[in-house]
Amino acid sequence: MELSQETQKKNQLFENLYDGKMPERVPVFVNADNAFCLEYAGFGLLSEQYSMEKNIEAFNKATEDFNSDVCFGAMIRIPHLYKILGARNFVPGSDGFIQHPEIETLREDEYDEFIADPYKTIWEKVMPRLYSEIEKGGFVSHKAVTKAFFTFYATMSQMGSACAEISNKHGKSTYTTASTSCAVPYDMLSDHLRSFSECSKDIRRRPEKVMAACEAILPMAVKASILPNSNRYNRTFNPLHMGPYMREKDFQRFYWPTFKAYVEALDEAGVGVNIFMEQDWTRYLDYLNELPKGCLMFFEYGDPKVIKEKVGKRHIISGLYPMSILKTETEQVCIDKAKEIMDILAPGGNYMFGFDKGILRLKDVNVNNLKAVLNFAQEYGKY
Amino acid sequence: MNNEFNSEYYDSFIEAMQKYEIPESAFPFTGETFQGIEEMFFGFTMFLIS
Repeated sequence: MELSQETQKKNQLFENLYDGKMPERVPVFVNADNAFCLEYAGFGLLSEQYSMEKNIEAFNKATEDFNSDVCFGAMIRIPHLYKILGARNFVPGSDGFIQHPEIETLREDEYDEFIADPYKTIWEKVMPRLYSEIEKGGFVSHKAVTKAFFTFYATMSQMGSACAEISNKHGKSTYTTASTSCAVPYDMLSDHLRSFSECSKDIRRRPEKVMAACEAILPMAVKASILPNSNRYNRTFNPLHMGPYMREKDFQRFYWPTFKAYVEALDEAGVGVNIFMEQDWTRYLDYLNELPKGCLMFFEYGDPKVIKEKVGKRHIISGLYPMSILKTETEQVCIDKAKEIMDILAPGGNYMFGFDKGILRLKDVNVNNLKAVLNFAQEYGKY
Repeated sequence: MNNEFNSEYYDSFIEAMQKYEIPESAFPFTGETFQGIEEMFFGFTMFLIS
């Protein structure tokens, strides 16, 4: 695909940012879940969300209408894949939006076998508990895995091509939040394997096992995060979860060592890292300065001044704009907030405009406020 | 910390060549057809637990 001049220009904004140079203006990196795009385009989650054609149509409509620098749609979850597998970890609610119930799929007495061979244990113990079709065994299980494998890559390929084409058509950057995505070891252990609540008990009842399990996960996480096309621009996304919910001494012992080793391994491989700092990471800002330079950090909460001062010279900052006010406040208040945040974070570069959290549903925002803020950020961010 | 990935359920390139009895002269032509699929299966696995 030959990239349009406008797309090349937008790509340059991000390349300069990732290279540590001052871009022409602050890149505006705002996108939304496919659920938002579908609803915005007038489609329903109980029906059209299962159609790739309708998802792509919705992405095109949203990308055309919202003045962000990237394709406006992002399909993080694949509804039809979860149906094929009988997923217990991603289940549509009554309105069709996919919910993520807490689930324990690795038992406490299975730590040793997991530590010895996590990949094998995932297929032997975890997958049947996550996915009811795999649990059935025999032909049903084999068929479900085969269908899911094909569905996963067919969907990713179709979406990847469509997003690139939509971006190029509307003069947006072809770079995305996630060239690939992976959780860091402690989050992987606590999210889909032991569960948040059980893992929080494990760090007191069997701390050595938790540390060993994180170290066993590390090689898998590193491998999953470096694809053949990964580089400084095609970056790997890490949504962080558990750190802010831990005591600092637990964070230091269980979370930080493999998180740091993971980011260092990607840096050594020349791969850029985009990290979503879920919740408030203020307590841990000094730790973040120990990570390799040039991580892109999407902050949810915290004082922008403190964050800029502490990590803004070493890392690229984004987020912190409280998305909730797009629903509750007037257009002027929303624009004033964007100005306030950009006045703090933009000077000196190393900043990308973004919201504190992803837009999931149409009801999350007043669309007119969203459009006004994006238009403002595009103009006000010129250096 | 060790970053080397190993598993009984994952075949490295050399393991795959031995398993499928591929002659050494064919090694340069097997990257996509054998190891590419192994890597795709690994990526698929990681998605399913993420």
